[in-house]
Amino acid sequence: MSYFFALLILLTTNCFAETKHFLLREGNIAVLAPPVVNKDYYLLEFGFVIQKKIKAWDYNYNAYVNAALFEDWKDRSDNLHAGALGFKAGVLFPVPTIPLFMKVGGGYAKTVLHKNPIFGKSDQSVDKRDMLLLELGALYSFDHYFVSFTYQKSNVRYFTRNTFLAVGVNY
Amino acid sequence: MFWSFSSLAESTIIKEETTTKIASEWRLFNRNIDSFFTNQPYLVAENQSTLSAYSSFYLKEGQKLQTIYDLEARFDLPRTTKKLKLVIEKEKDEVIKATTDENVATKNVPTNYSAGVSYLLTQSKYFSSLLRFGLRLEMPLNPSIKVNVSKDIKTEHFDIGLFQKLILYRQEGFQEISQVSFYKKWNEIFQSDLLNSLVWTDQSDTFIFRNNLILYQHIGNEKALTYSVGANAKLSPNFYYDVYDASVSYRQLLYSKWLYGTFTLGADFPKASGFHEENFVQLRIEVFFQ
Repeated sequence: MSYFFALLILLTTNCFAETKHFLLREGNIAVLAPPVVNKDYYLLEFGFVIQKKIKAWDYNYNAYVNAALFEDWKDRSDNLHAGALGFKAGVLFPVPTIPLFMKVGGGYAKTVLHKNPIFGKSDQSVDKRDMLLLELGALYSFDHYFVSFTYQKSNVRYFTRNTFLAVGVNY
Repeated sequence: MFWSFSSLAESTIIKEETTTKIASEWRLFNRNIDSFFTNQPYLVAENQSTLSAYSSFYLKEGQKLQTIYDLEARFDLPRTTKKLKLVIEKEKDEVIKATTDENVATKNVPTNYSAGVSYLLTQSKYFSSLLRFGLRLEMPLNPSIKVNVSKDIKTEHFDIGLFQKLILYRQEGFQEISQVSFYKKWNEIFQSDLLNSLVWTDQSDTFIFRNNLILYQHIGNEKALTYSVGANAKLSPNFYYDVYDASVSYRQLLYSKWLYGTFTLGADFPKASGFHEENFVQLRIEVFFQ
């Protein structure tokens, strides 16, 4: 209950107006989750970000749309990799007073289970699925750069990695 | 342009700018994508983006009812220079499109998302050529290169359209589509289009030849009838007709300026069943924004 009142106090104060100082600037974003940091996983995202506002609360936030390519072979012993190509969209809600964002997003991708999901031949695919993706996470920005931690859940079982760390740039 | 002859009658009905909220949002979305690539604003009139979502109910003799929901979209980003354009679209396979009755082309025809960069090589009033590098939304990656060349010839009696498309997909290999069309507007009510297509794909390793005669009848405000007869032939091992088809479609604006309904009654006559008729009906509800 105390959290609810704390949230209520936050909503009724004007500290939300400060959020505009921390927003990612409107333009492009590129995200990389390298396999060095994330074992048996990599991700590339490229897209654009815009600024939005909830006028009633004077609360500013970002929205983004990215094209995404990622590959996951965590805990696999059969030499197969899961690959996906698709789109992600979501919102970044800044926390007042610090450049930290809460990320909520979703996505759609075409996926394949294959020995070489990027450059392989389509008729050698072991499985193919359409993926619906839900993502929750946090993003911390330093000037034009940011790091993010993401938890993701999808309807495709051969993607086993649920969390990843990524770095990105806003330009 | 030649390719558009077959849908000219429908286009005259549907090419009206809508002022609905969805259309505004659609334009805004395109503007955001466009500014992402160019950081320049553009006039709404320059935007050729379209969005069409449909639900189709198709019932063929001896088969179960097929219900198809799909989306066709085209994001045309006009400020990515006059010659070089980025186009993101969801569309039907070009080869299937060229060898089926357009009024019932939704049956069992998958649509694919793709993103590509088009480079306009030459453009004049009656001639254009286009080069496109694209990537379909599928895995493993399936990049493609396409070359389109089209020429329109106006004569005293009818218009002749010549169209050539060469496609190279990394996965499916080479495809080619050649078309010759004879279009005539008889009066304000009737238009006709005789469409002849020749298609070859690496996968099938055979030529398919299609003749399609279409008569459009405009029957009043936002209502049209389309009569179509077609025949598909294969060129190997010998030239033979594989299937004939005939259909009548009634299309009407149902609501505002964006909700359309089409009812089609037709029959296929495949060689496999001794050219016996296989009747079908199709009801298609479609929303269209431009």
